Amino acid sequence: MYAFAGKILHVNLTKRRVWSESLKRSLAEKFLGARGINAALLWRLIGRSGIDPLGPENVLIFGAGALTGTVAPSSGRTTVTCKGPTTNLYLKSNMGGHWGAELKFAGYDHLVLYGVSKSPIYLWIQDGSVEIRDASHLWGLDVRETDRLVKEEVEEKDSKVACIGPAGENLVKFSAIMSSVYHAAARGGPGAVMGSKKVKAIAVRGTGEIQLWNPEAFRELALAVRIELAKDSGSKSLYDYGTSGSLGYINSLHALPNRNFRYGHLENVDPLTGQNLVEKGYLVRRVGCFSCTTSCHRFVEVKDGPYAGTYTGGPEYETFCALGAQTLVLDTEAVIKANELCNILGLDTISTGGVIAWAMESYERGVLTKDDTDGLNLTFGNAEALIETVKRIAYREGRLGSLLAEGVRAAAEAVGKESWKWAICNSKGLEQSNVETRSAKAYALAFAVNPRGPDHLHTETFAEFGASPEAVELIKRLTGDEKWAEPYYTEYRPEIVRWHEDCYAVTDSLGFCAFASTAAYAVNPKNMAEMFRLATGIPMDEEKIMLAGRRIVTVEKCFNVREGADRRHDDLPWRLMNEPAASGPAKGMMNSREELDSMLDRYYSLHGWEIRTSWPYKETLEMLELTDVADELRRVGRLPSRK
Amino acid sequence: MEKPILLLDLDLCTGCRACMVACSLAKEKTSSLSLSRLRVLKNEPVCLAVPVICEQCAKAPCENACPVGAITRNPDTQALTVDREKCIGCKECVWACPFGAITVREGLAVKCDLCDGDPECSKVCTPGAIKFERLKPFDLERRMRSLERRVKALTTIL
Repeated sequence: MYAFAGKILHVNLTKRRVWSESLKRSLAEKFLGARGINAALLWRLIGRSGIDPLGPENVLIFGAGALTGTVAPSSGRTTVTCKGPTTNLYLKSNMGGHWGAELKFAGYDHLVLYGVSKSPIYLWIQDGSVEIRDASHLWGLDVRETDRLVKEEVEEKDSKVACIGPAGENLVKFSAIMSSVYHAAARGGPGAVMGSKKVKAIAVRGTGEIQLWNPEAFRELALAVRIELAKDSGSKSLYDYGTSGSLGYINSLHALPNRNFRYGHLENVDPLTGQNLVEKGYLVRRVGCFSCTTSCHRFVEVKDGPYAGTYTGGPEYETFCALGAQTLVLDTEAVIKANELCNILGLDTISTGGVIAWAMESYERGVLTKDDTDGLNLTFGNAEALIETVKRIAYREGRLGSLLAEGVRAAAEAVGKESWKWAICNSKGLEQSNVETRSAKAYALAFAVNPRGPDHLHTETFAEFGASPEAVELIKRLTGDEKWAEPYYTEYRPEIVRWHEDCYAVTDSLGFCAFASTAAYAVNPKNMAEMFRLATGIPMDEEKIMLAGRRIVTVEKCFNVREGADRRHDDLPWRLMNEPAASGPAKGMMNSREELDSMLDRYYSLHGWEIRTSWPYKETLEMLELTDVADELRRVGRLPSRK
Repeated sequence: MEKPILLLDLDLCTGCRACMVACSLAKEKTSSLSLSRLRVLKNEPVCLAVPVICEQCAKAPCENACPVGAITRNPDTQALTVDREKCIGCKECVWACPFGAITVREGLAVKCDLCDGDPECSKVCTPGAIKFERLKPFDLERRMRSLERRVKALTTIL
């Protein structure tokens, strides 16, 4: 099979059984790769609602992109899929780095982990051979140490290691799977699922090749798209200053969430910017994921002061917001330290910052006392308390650590006293990423309908800001008029979200980075379809590939429908729906129920989903050739029909 | 006049390895890291990446080591190339190369031939870590500094 390694590797950890199967061409035609095929596998392999995400019935699926391992620009990403431990719903988490490409060169496109091992193990996958090895001596080690020791033991310095840190072992609900030390699949806590299976690490080394259907034409197109992508204005800024280069601009719009989403503006945002990392000499080098033309990832070092000797990948935009702005720790070096700890202990920085900001507000309001924090003075701006809390979460240490390790929804439920009002998660239960949705309405809709919870990594609708000529052009194409490239409008947001959903699903499934197609725009559905066709030999065009994207989004939705989710789960955090933005041009705006409802009605209609329940109609599923999914939803009584 | 050569700037290498798959695609019509003529070695905990590539040495150890004269200099590009008809697969060149820039495929030596004067790796190197340029006296100095840094960096990996 061209472009694919052609095999799915299965490992049953309970029975210690390893087998592989051919990747069917029909699966690639319908679901493209990575995220899409993972979603199809998850639907089939879990097979019913209500299983325990941290029990033996959950599966953990890794998938490399259809074009991962090729010279296509920024195409090296990997999707990790399972039932999520925070939300009890569908979870996909996506990481950059080099692990996915290595997996394909080792002979596999996907890896499925079943069951639970009795004792800690790690997997060693090398050119088609698979070993289950004891990891008792690695259990408890941080990510950096694990990476080093595993590479030593397998005697392959060029191997790529995906692993969990202590947080994943301790089943912290927002723990990460880290690869090449600093690349995280973290949102929603896939690290906890890996920890529940007692899998410490997966080391991969491949010397194989990925054959291409039409290598010459593929090469020509991929090189041309590389040049276009490098020219895009968004790419250049991402290279120079990373994702955190945008904090200053966002702050100027009063859209930089801080102090647990109470405020949108900081007097001095400079310490939290990518520009500052460069100017103050923290940036050691710019780092690229596999085959990336952009290289937005950072490697930073703190040379002096109380945090001297700290070094890590990051901090990204989200990390500076979550660990800096939300906690009001406006101290570059302290944030770098907290970021390093999250990386090596294996924590999602977004949720970590989210729960700590919630705890800080609770402490400020007297809902959490010094007793609850085990003596920690958990005030906004207290850098030492931030750093200490990160550690306590990873090890579930003391009352505070065990409370916060369960995530913000569970913590607010445990503490009560209306603290759910400032728990920034929606009905699905995931901590929201750091976008001020009150003044960005397509983002608001996208966050509400995201099957894993409110964040930007299902549908990145950055174009609505109209911040670049490319973005304005796209909005004009989607809505008919460039005046809609303005985030305060609610008009046409469902149309904008719908297009981006399909595009994002294709992007993820082919292994592309979302920045290449929905922040910069040189990678687009048309050239993705053509690259896919030339690489795989599967007939494909823009319309067909976007329909495949729609199919993927729909299967993900159906997973949640089977679990019992409905329209009520598509909402936003209480604060954002009920408390207006504090200052600036968007002062007074919020994501009111009425506003969200009007966008949801239109959004469900565009999808062919029932407006009352949000469940896909039978006819919609048939049109998408998802009849097996329809059959099962009929069986559980959640298949509305238009007739 | 000096011919253009591949100039490496360690500080700009992001470790993406597009050069490696581009090399294999151009030379072998397939995508593979192991079929690439160049390597990017990495020290991941500090995100360090070090490209290793044929330096097209003036006094080439590989050329001298080859017992059958299979490695010769292309007069147009000045690249040292392997004549696979003549190569006997003894691997003397692999041992002789101080950079480890020669590999073996199907028993015979494989090395960078500068793509006949239009090297693919530099075309895909967006950050500009691999440039195909004529060496100026100033560049020679820069190149020596770069080599020194690379050797130092390599000692942290190997």
